[in-house]
Amino acid sequence: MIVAEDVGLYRDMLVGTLAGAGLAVTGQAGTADEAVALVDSDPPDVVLMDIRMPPTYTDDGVRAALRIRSRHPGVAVVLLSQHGEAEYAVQLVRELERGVGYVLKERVAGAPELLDVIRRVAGGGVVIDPDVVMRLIRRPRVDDPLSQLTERERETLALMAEGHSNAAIATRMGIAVSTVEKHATSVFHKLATNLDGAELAGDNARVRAVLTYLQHTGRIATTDR
Amino acid sequence: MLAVGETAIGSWALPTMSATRPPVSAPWHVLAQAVRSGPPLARRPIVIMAVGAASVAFASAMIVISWQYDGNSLAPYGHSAGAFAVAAAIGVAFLSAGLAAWWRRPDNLVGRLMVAAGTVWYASSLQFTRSAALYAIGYWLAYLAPVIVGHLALAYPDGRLRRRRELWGVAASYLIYLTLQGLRYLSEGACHTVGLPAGAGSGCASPLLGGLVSLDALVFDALFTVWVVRRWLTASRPARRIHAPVWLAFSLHSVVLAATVLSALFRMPQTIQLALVLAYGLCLLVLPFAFLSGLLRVRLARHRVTDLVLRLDGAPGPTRLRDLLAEALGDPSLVLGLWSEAAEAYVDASGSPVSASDPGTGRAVTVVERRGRRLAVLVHDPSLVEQRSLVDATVAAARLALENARLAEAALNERRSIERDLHDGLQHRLLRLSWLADQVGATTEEPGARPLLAELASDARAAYVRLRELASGIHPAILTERGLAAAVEEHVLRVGVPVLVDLPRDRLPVAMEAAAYFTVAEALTNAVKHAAPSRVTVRGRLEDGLLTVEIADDGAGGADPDGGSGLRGLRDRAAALGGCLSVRSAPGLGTAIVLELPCG
Repeated sequence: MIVAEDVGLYRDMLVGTLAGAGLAVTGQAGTADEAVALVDSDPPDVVLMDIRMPPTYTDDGVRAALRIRSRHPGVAVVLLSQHGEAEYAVQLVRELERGVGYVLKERVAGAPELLDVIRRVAGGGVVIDPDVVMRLIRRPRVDDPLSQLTERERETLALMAEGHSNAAIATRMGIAVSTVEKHATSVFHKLATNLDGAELAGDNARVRAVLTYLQHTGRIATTDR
Repeated sequence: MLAVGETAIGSWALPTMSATRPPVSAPWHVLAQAVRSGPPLARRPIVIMAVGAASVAFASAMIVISWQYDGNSLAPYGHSAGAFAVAAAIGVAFLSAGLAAWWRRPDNLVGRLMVAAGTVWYASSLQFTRSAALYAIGYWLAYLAPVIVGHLALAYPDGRLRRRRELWGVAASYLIYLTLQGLRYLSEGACHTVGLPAGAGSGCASPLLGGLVSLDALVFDALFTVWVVRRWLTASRPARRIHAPVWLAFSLHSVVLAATVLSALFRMPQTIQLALVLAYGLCLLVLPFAFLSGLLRVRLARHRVTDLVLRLDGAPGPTRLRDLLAEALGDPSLVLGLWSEAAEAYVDASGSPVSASDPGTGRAVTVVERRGRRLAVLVHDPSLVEQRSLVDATVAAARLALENARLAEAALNERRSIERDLHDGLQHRLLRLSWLADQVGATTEEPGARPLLAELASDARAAYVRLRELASGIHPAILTERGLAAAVEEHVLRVGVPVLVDLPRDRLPVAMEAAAYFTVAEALTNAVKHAAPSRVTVRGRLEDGLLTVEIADDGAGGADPDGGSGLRGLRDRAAALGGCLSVRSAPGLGTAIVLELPCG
């Protein structure tokens, strides 16, 4: 693993957690460029990276992640975000498709959550922070198509958007996988056109479709899109 | 004075017109200064009025003396009252135009040169005073006025001689004329009886020296005209627009002068000579007003600076600032380079470097500095150099605008840096605190401590989240990172009503993005709090350097456009950027807030 985080205090904490769980941290970086260089010299399985880092303290982490993946398609990346911007989540899922995580920093303050995210992303999965998903789902919309969903269907939709498989969703909701499948089918049926094919696609493609759908319903944003 | 007549024609060097300096010292001082290209003088009304009064008194006296000479026969003017009137008027024209120019442009030597020419114009009439000493002076300075007019043409419009060769040329024209005419006086003037009672007769005229004076006039006339024409040829569009009438008038005057001198030298029929002299007189009559109107046109350009200052008040972006400066200076080709600390170079609005040196591009460079610190550079048309006060005023205005922009940006950077400090320092400490509490909770042997540690961890996390919201309110990170549209779209996810967003995704100047973002955020907060809308629409467009954002809701309406500190704050913020904010709100018809910001 490589950890890229400019705040030493927080980086030590992450490294400590990972090491405590028996994961080998092969490199630590304080800037986005350092992280890219470290990955180039010795590609790890997973890069855990802050979004806001030097040099520009803006979305350097997002850009570094895209660079890393264009050179090393097999390296999974987990981006740590402070604010959980939906914009970045959708961009990452759209452009990286698999092996990518986008989580809030406070989410991974506890070891179990952090390790869970890393495990799923290392396995090629997509992980999106529940806060981000909830914000997208709860967004007030005019003629909200989501209002047709039942509470359980809505919950299923959220878990799908977070990147969980049907089996994982079943476990979380304490219901049978077949019930989850039923909910999912119903969701796609009700939300119709924009989610065409998402039902049959793999988990990652499903995340992409659902997130994009959630981000785009309820806004006009015709400009330059 | 212009004098035509039998007495004069025979010995004409120049067409019979003459000039003298008046018996006051100021114009000499002025002349000396003109040649030295001395520093501009501040306006001193008393000096100007005193010189003006003295000049006018002298001129009046001379006009009366020449009128009365030889029993009002007007012999020196070919017995023509018309010729006398033209001759008398020329000096008056130079004097009045010169005094006006001096008054309006006290820092410019052109006005004083015109006063000098107008006064000296009457010096030849000293020859009619029947005083040997005054006669000598009148004789000596008889044709000095045309020399001053040549100087004037080259010194116009900024009062300075810009090239070394012009300085030498003008100095030589004074020196050679005064020398030749002085020698001429010594050799023939003493026996020249004009104005003196029964002198030694007029048989001792020296055609050689008279011819030399004429030749001298022809040579300098031609040389100065060539220089003026070349100035016109190499002038830029804005310079031509202002100065072409003056250059044209002078060139025309020169051609007529040459023709007049040649007609006298070759003793052409007297009617032709007379016609040419009159034409020359009319040219001279027009010339001072051409100079004056040219000067005032330049001065009018300075009024554009007033407009500029008013429009700069809105802290325009770099592109807009360039356009405003270009307009004020009347130079569409103006390039504005802003000093970039990061790049250690001047860069234009698109970030391309702007060269501050002048490697033979034919462009002039003006650097804008503040207390030795570089702010910007203007690369402009070289003709603007002669409108130095215009450039100075424009640069001063630009300096204020740039300083303001810097202050506004500093304030904004301050906010961003507070946000970053919170992010880097406090927030991560809180996260670590929560993490440590978890660690200890997981390993402690003391079962009673576990719930407390869990509470500590969750409190620290809650504090972190609260702090994050605070920091975001100070300056949302995504605004810096992705701009207005992304930040607003992110923001509306947290607003309790449906918000339709359609904003341009272009990146704008930081201050403008911040102003637009906080306006939208405040307007949304107000709408949700007071109007209970079922939906809000945020639409924006970027057109012709103007960003327009409209926040419209379908709520209760009836918002007081002038009331409420929130709206006032938004309006102040817009005004600070040179924009405006309008509120349309009728009960039952919703509220629309429109923000307009000029952007660079």
